[in-house]
Amino acid sequence: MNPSDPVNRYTELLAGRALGDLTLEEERELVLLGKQLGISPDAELELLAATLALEPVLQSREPMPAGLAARLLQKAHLIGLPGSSPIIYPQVPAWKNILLHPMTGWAAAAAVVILSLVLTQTEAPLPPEQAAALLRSADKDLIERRFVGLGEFKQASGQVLWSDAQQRGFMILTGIPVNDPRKAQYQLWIVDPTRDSDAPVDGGVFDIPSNGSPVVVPIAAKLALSNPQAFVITREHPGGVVKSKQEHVVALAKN
Amino acid sequence: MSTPAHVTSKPVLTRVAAGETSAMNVCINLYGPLVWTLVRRYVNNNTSSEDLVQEIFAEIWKKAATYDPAIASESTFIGMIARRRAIDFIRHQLRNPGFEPLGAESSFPDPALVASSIPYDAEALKSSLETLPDETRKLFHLFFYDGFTHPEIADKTGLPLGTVKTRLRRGLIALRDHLRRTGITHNKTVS
Repeated sequence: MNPSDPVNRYTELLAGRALGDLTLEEERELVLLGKQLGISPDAELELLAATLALEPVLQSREPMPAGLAARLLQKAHLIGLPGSSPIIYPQVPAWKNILLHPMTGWAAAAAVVILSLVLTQTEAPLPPEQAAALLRSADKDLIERRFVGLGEFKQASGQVLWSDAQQRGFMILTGIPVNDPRKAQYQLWIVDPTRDSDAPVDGGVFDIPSNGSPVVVPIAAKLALSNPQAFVITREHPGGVVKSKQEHVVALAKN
Repeated sequence: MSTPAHVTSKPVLTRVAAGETSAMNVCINLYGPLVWTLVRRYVNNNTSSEDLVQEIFAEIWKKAATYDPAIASESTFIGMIARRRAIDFIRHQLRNPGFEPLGAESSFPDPALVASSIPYDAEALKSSLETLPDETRKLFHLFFYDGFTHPEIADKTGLPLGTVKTRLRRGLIALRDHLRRTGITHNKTVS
């Protein structure tokens, strides 16, 4: 193998990715080489690495902790099934698309509520108040909090609605400055004291595409929540962060 | 492991993707121990492991529709998703100490599970592994079977870290190439 050959180098980097040993520089190099060569990666080396790594695991499977199996089952049922309600899995492209088009976003948010509650098959856009009313009617213990803008974001305001029972919710936001996603993005953090970890749960990264009309943002909590006590919006680097330094806290909603 | 209540000939992931009611329960019962054991090989902390398993299953639900039994077994498909997330977790931990939640998606670009992928059965894999140099096979055993990290392998073998990385990478490529060649020969023989 001649490592200076770009195709060979690309293959070697793919192998490195499958083995989980790429440095940051190599990750960038892999992306760049893929573009230059016009090659789309396939999963062949990764499948092979997974097969090799699974062999000892298949021979010595340990049972999951009882509590974890129960939580997975509970969350699976709360989330629902992809075939029965595809919108409940907010995928990144769909998420961005929703936020780039407030009315589409609103239609999708309304459709989430409507589909999940099996109230109607219509996908017609509804005003935020009506969607909130629908969610309220489905969950009498719905958590509702008002966002208060902080510091340089004092004009920010809005509302967050969260259903523990359905593990879903959304925010209706106004007055948050439009962001350039190439420079910064907003990120939601959810404080849930009942979780083991003290760290807030990542509620998803989002953009504000235009000033003026309220923007509806579905919440994409990465973990199951139980009676969250506070919702915090921060401004972060593009793509969000895994742990916020809270240098730019935009708005807070809490008890 | 208990036998799931709703066993059918259809893969459970296909049933999950089709919205079948009991499929998620079956999937958790069938593959929960696999995912848990795999995650524990990468992550020592119990809380982090449990959070990671929840994230992995969320991803499995999302990707169930992309599963193709002609390309990989269910356990390999699920294992690949789990391993990807576990590798992501370790990378984030190393680069961001104090890190807690991962993003919604794996940071791996989502490569296509292309039809040219080889469904690796244990026998084909074993005989292909025999074709690798002894030194590479030893590194494979330490990495895949014993679960040692690259620096640990470098310590154990006395090899420079860069050499360990390179040999593992090239060994994986050589193994894939051998399986490809074997697959092509086999197909030609059959046709």
